[in-house]
Amino acid sequence: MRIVAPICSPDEVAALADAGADEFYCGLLPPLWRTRTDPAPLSRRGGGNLTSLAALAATARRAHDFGRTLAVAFNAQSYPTERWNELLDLIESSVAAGVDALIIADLGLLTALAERRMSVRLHLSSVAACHNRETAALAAELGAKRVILPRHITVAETHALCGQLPGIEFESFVLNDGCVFEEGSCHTLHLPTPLGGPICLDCRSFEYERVGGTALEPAEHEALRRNDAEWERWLWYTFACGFTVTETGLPNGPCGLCAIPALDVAGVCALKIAGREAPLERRRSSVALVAEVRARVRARQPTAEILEFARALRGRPERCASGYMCYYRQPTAVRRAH
Amino acid sequence: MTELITATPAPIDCTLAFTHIAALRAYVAAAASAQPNPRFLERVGLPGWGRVAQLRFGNEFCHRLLPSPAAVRQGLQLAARHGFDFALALPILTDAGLVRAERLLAEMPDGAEVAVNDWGLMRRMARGFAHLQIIAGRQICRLLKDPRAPPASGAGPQRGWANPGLAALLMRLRARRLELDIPPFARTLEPEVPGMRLSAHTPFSFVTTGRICRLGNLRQEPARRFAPEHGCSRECLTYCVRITRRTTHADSLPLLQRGNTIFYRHGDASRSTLITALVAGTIDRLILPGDWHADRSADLLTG
Repeated sequence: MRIVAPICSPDEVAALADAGADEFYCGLLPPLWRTRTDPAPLSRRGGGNLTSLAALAATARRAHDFGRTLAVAFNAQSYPTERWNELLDLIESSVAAGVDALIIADLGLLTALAERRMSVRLHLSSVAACHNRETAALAAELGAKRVILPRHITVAETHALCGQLPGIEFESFVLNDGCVFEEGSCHTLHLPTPLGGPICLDCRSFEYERVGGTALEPAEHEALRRNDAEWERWLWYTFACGFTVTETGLPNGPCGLCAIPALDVAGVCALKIAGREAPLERRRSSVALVAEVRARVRARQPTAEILEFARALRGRPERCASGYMCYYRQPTAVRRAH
Repeated sequence: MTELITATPAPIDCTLAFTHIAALRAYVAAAASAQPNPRFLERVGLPGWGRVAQLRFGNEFCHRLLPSPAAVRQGLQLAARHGFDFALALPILTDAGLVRAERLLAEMPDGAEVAVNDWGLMRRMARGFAHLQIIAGRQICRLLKDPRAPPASGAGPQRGWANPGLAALLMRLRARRLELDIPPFARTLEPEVPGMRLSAHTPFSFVTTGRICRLGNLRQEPARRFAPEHGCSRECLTYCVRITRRTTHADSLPLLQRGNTIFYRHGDASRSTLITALVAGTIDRLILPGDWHADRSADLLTG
């Protein structure tokens, strides 16, 4: 399994590669694409992007110097139609700059790129929300070599997908940046904080009404209140445990470390570390965490030992025990055959 | 807007969408007993603009709400008995969901429409269900439509459905109609796509949805709570939810939630955009929520 890390500058290649990254991915947002009204016109993130084709070329060269590859994300859900040709030109220029893969979310864009027969790998973004074999097969027909699975998918479902489509590579989330909703079906912006931030944090109160209008019983109110409180607790975990790190600087929040053995058995080829917008140190320590667990998988250590090791890494076993920090709640659902 | 409304074009075909078979049954019963003409178009600001031509069954957003084949058969019979066309709506699906969906497709008669929100299901239908018409649902039509963004955000170009790649793919997969939500602050819609007809949902556009349902976890055991594979007791059929935001501006639109999906109710800008598109003929069908809305009344349509 290859470790796929987010990168924001050619200067970060060495640190991330030394920590264990095998592949890099980045965003690109040149000045001509910056608009006042749309902070992320080319990819799902408005921050952490390279800002020129020259920087992209430099990052690709640096990655290649270290024997790594670079993918660039054009994974906006859709694009302004009047800038379609401009978009395709920018993508062609990115390929010319030396990137190894394009991460695409819009299947219309994937269709258009397939027609151009570019000499670059195409990866289907998690934003495409591929939850089944037929979607993966469609992406493959359009030229995708890899499908990046969405966040909200189980290990068992991943296992089934990998088994049914052996010709396609699958990449799974393993650390950081949870989403409350399906990213590919979330048509909002992460607004500046004064305007509300992400919609999942912007919703303050929920007023329940019974369909038909009859009043709720006190017991119903209480059950709904308890559920809301539990939801808030889950949100806290989903948003990096209140956007914190451990005392030793390790990232808190959505994590699939203890699922790595199962993802390996499932046939996943790449482990994705999310968080293009995070500081370098957070990304570097994330890569190192994943690399430590992967090393044990490669060494064929018993799965139970690897799980125990992964859950002890942050020194907060109660957070793992909550289940709310997990990308994969039942990582032992898939086991090695032996 | 009043002037536009009085310039009524030919009646527009409307689809009434139902998640719950009981709601569909109740609507049909009301229509059959010759109760007063449903005021649904009046309530969404389009009085006298259309007629109900089609009843749709199934939920666009949640695989936990996939109906049973028996419920689909019942819906078909009810619709046919009262002279309505019958269509099915299906959400994004897992592999297990695809298997269940295929059982439902097998119940559908020749020529029936299916609103599809999953690319994989669309591929499957294009290859194996030639007798059915594929409608690309509103999750296929990905628009930026954040009702919290300042209105200026909608004044510029919209990201959209009219790009050549999407049109080519939809054509390849046999879809000839696309459903869209009206953006919150847009003044115009994208140009028409040759060969593709457009329907619009009103009066709610969806904002975000996903596999994890807040309300659906009400009775879940702790080990499964808020995990992708959590089950539910279909609490969404019992409760609707009004959302209050932490931050608002003067033009904020009301947010509502049913089940796993947040919607905004159209304001004047969306209504005006919709009316312009209806008059121009860009949009030739409306889809209204028969039961999947957040009005306290059980029935948005006749209440």
